[in-house]
Amino acid sequence: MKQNLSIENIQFIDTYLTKSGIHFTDIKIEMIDHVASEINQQIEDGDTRDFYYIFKDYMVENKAFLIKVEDKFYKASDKKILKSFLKKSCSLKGVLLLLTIFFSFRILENILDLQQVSRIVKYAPFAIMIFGILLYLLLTRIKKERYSSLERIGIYFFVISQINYHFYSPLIEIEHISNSKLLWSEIGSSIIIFVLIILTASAFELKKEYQFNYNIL
Amino acid sequence: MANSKLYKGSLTTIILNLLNDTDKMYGYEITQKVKELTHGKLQITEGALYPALHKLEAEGLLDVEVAKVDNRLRKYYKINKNGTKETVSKLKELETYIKTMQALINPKLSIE
Repeated sequence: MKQNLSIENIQFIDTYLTKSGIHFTDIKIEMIDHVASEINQQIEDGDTRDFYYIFKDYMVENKAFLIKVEDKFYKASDKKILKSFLKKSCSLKGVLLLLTIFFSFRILENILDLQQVSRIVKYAPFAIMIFGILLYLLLTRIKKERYSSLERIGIYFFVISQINYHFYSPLIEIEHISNSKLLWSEIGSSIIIFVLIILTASAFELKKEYQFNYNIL
Repeated sequence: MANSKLYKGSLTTIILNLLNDTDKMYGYEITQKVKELTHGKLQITEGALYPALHKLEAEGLLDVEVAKVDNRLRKYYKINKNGTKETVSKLKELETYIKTMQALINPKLSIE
């Protein structure tokens, strides 16, 4: 006869896995189901011992394999993020976005003097980055749950922020700037802004996917 | 995987082929099905199965569905159009590999 584990038993497995270092909800859900299914199977096969004894024996034998699962999520997450990033970047909307950012800087050259434009080109990625990071921090807090790919995308924000800081540090004063130097500066700044916007859009997409799949309790 | 490194390279083909024959499956079910089909000779560990499933999902070969079952959430994997295409090509690759190995190890039994 099939005997289901109680909510308390499931909660016990959940707490144990969290304390063992499995933090991401999307990964933990599968591990909980796997452990619970195995315990159910053992009970069905005639094991009359209490849940805790069966659980303890299972963990002694399999804990190392379970912990490994979260360590290996990076590859799959990177693939997922890269796929979403490339899909958005290579779409018509993506190309139009990049051109709009670049030509907005070019148009500004007709309205403002070179020094003012170079300041905007320098500070714009920094402002977008602050906005993007704040938005990202808000996005990652879904009912205090942590999700693997959503958290992984934070690494990409960090890398872009470091590149931006290297080329457009707000602490370095702008000296006299030539037309050709400004053009290169505009290209670089457009790319950084573009990447930040696409990353934020990818984070939104991942959040939607996670909410759709996992927020059903 | 408990028994052999030889099976490691075929893990994704095994998973895709199993999912190709059924509507949807969850992780534990896959391990039990493999155990049953191989009479216990091949046992897939959690540390090998789930990263492989996540990889196939990230590659867009599998779709997922989460449902509440017996007081917990269960993640089901379903093969999609791209996955079906990939299964055909992976099975062909595996067949060629087996034939080649057979020709190398036991040339008398080899057909080609």
